[in-house]
Amino acid sequence: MFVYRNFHFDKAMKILIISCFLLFASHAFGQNFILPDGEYMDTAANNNSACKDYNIYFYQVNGKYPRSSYTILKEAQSFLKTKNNSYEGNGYITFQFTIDCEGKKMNKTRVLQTDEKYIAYHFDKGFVEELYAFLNTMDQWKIFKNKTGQTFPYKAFITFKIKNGKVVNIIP
Amino acid sequence: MVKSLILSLNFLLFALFSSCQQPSQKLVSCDCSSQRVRDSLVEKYLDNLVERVWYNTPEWQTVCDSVIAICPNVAQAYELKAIPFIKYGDYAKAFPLEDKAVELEPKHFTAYRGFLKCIFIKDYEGAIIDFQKAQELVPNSYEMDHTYFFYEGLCNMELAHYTKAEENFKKDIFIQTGGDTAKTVHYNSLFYLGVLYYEMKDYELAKEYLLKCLAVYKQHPEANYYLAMVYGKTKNKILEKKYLAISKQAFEDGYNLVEDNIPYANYPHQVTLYEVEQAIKKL
Repeated sequence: MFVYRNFHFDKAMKILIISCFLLFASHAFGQNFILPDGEYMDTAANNNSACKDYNIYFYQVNGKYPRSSYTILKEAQSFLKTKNNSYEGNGYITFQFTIDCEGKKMNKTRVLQTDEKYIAYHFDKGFVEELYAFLNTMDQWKIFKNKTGQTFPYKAFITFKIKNGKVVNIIP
Repeated sequence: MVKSLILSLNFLLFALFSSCQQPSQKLVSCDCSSQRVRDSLVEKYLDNLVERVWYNTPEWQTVCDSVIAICPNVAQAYELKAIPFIKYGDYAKAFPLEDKAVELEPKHFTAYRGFLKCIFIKDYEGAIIDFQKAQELVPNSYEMDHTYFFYEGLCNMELAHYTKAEENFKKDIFIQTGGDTAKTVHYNSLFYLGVLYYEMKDYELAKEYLLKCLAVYKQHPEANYYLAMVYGKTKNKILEKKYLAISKQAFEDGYNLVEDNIPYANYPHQVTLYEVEQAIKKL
């Protein structure tokens, strides 16, 4: 009887350990949404038909985020400090997204990651998610208006330069 | 995809027939080892490409790919192909292309890659290596309006290698003037030497160079901002306030560092109206 109970206990423990490992592994090594053109943090598309995408880029409309790279860096570092996690790796984590007609970042966000030699790489998923959460706090994007006052969406990006698991610079 | 392929093939055939083939022959391959052939491909298809095709379109990639398909040793095709990627943060795509351009024409593209590393992706260590190599290949030359020493100085300043940066900036100025102090120096050479001395806490020299910069370009928003910072450090509240007000006005009037790549990238120590307004609030 004792042996029987122990057998079931061992089996349950194994399942629990494997489940925990899978849960951890999916967090640490898992991928985001994979589409034919790349990896995405979020794939939700724009449903606002009044805000038509004309394939405009931030550099055509003076659309860089209106803070210095140094200010953004300090804000990112403060944000990450509250999370109190440590990470490893060197390279670049880039988020590409669109700013809508109201100056808000749209959900659909592509993520690109390289090592310091610009070769494709994956940082810890938790790290990428923390940076993505910080990106979503950036709420001062410019609204692009033409001379008649019509507003248009534009494509923008932010890159976090990483050294030894820490953000050391912001691009642009 | 199919449309793109057809376009590509059409272009390839057109290029082969019009540029490389003798009229009496059916199909010959180009002699890509010939500089003349490569130059003619560049002249015919790449030199004015930016006037004909928007680089964020598939057509841009098709033209570059087609030239590469004809002659894989045309360095400029790789450099042009990389443009949309570097400007939108896709470094895994951009840098193998930049590396190929450097491999094919190191004299022409080493400094340009260094410029991208310095200004676009803030890889200061990598940029210094490229500019030192470029200096060996084409001594005392320029990239994007500035000497190689100017960029090396920026990189060393950002890495807090201040003594090296000072040496670099002085060489930059010497190349511009040839030692003739009457000659005008680029205002951003003067600006960054001022910023360097500000970082080195040598506020007298910082003031001297920032004022020299403003003598050439009085609305320079960052020079006014850093001059205000210098006056703040030296406890001169009146001049701190004065130069912050000038900087704010300059930003509001649309002035900036005036570098060609300002729309794409923030230059080292570049600030915005936000930082100026924050400094004014702290007065």
